[in-house]
Amino acid sequence: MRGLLWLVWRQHRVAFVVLLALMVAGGVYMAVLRGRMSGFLDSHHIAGCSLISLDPHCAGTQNAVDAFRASYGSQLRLAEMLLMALPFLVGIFIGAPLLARELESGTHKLVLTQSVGPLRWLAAKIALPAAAAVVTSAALAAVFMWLWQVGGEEVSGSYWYSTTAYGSLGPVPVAQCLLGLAVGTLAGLLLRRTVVSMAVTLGVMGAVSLALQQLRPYLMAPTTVVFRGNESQQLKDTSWFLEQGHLTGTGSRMPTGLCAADPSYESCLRSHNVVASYVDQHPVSHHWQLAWTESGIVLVLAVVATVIAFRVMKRRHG
Amino acid sequence: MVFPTGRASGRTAIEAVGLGKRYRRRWALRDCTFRLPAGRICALAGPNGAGKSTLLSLVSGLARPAEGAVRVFGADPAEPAGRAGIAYLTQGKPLYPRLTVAETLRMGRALNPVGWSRERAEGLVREGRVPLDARVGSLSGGQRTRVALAVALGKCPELLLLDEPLADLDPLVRHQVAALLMAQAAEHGTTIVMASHLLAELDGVCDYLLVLGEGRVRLAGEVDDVIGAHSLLMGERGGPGAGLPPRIAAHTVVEAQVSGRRFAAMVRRQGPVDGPWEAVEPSLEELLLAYLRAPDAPALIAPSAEPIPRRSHAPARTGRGAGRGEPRLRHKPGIPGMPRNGPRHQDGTDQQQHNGASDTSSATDMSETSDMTGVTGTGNTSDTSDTSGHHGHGGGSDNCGRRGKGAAA
Repeated sequence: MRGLLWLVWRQHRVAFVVLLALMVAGGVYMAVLRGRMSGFLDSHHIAGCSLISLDPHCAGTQNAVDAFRASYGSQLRLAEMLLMALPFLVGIFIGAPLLARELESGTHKLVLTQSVGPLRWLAAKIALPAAAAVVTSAALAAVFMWLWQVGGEEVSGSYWYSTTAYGSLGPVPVAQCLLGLAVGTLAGLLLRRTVVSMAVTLGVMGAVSLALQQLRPYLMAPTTVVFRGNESQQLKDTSWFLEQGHLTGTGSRMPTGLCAADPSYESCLRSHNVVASYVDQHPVSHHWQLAWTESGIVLVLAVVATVIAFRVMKRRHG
Repeated sequence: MVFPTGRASGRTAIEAVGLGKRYRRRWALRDCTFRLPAGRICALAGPNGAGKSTLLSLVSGLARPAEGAVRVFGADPAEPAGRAGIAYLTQGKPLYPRLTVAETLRMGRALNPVGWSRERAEGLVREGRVPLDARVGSLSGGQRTRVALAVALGKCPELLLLDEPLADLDPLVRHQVAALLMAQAAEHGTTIVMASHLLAELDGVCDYLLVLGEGRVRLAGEVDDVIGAHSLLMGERGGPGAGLPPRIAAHTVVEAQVSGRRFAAMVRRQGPVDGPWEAVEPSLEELLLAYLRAPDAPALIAPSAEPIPRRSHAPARTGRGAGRGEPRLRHKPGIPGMPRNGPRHQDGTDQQQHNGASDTSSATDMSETSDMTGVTGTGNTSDTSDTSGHHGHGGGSDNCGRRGKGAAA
């Protein structure tokens, strides 16, 4: 197996070196950004403050928060983009060519006629890039987390439930990278053309990402918050708002627009026996359960794609 | 203990029974049945799309048959035991162009953890003065072929499959590569199957023949058996409207060409071919061309290419096959019930002379055969007693064969 791993390393060493460079550059960038952010937050005392905040210690910090977002918001987005793009990059530039290039140039025949069997070759072909992808994405995700604990949530508006932050935090980018690799590898094996496989990988990964975004709120039951009468209550900024509506005395839910067209709004609500309003939301405490559940789904998909690749290889070449 | 792999071993290198492979809805190979004894150099010929590459893929274990079965030295080629003994140089000789020659050889060792002979692989590369630190992509066609062969032979195969190995080489290099293959086959007793379009190149190199057409076996057997079963008859026909003389048509006419009053007919003899015409033994190229031009001619599977029946209730076949295990001499083949004709003229006048020539050539063949056995023997002795330190010249100097023996034992 060591010899096989050497061969895979030798064949794809450019990709591995690029990954390593990406990891180092991204890590340094985020570490520097964190240092600057934390300096700004400390000097302006705006940690945990949002643009519009009810928190008394944030009074009068609106300009400072605005300045913070203007200075560092786009840089934080850039870091999130890097982590969001990583699974696509891994899938398109490592996964898709992994087998497609061999099948395209016929070099798979060179390997498959040697003593090591096709399945061991495939295992080595997948294992090394998978390890590299896991190391890179885990390292970048860890550094991002360290950065985000300072510059995330209220102060930058990069809440845990925003699409790019969610995709950059914790296990999500690691699982996505493995899925990208598996999808790319399978596409290359089935389609046998590098460029076509790259395009298909991009399409499939995009579709899976969109589907997961749609599915995400339903991965666990949301918490319902009920507001009664004229209570002045505000949903926390860190809570992921899903849905709101009216609540009747019998506890049944009515849509928000129930009385929107009615000129006498109050009497309309009364006529429907509305006594309160409700908000379905995921509090910040739901974040990690959601993230691990989604990562689990992604990993299952990655395993399925990999198993299919092994079965195709076994059927084709014994 | 030494298990010879070569021709003297009496083993069967390839045995295919009812082999078939389908790509989508088209059968690339169908009902392919033949046997290749060990130690032969087999030419695999046929027009484009005849199924040559498909057959090699199946024999190498690269592809799985849709029907039938193939065994290489008794093992399934797709199983690890079978795979280890087979080297397959596919069309275009794929190598990784960005790897250096040294890295390519290291790859060979990495992909063949057991049985890799570094000495043999490096020896082949050094012999061709291929720089070890050059990238494969920068090599000439001949050097590339040599590196590809070094990888193929470095795994010490018992069976070497080559798909158009000479196609993209200039005539000089072609000659060198063919000579290299012959030397390797003689030294190590490697069985070689070589698919080729170059009909002239095959003559004199190959002693076994397998011709495919439209996915089926057309001809199979020892070259001498197959050629010996045919005669090329040339003479004048009765008139412009007349066909072939009826006595010729009584034989199996593979192909006949008529120009003016002259005719030339390639026939598979069903008896004596005496008559008012000239009868010569066709060359391998003439025979192959005749079969390629006449795709409907009936197939010929010589007894030497028939699979050995495994069931015990076939006494007749077993009896006939009993002598098959013995090393066969090139000049004494023949299809039972069919007289072996001489190398050239078969009409009475030259018979005497022909016999003399035949005797001379047979003596040469004999000495060659014993020479070859001698080399193999030396190699094997050296393998067992002299694996460390001192290496002699030739077959014994490359640590090959230990794996092969283990597999055979």
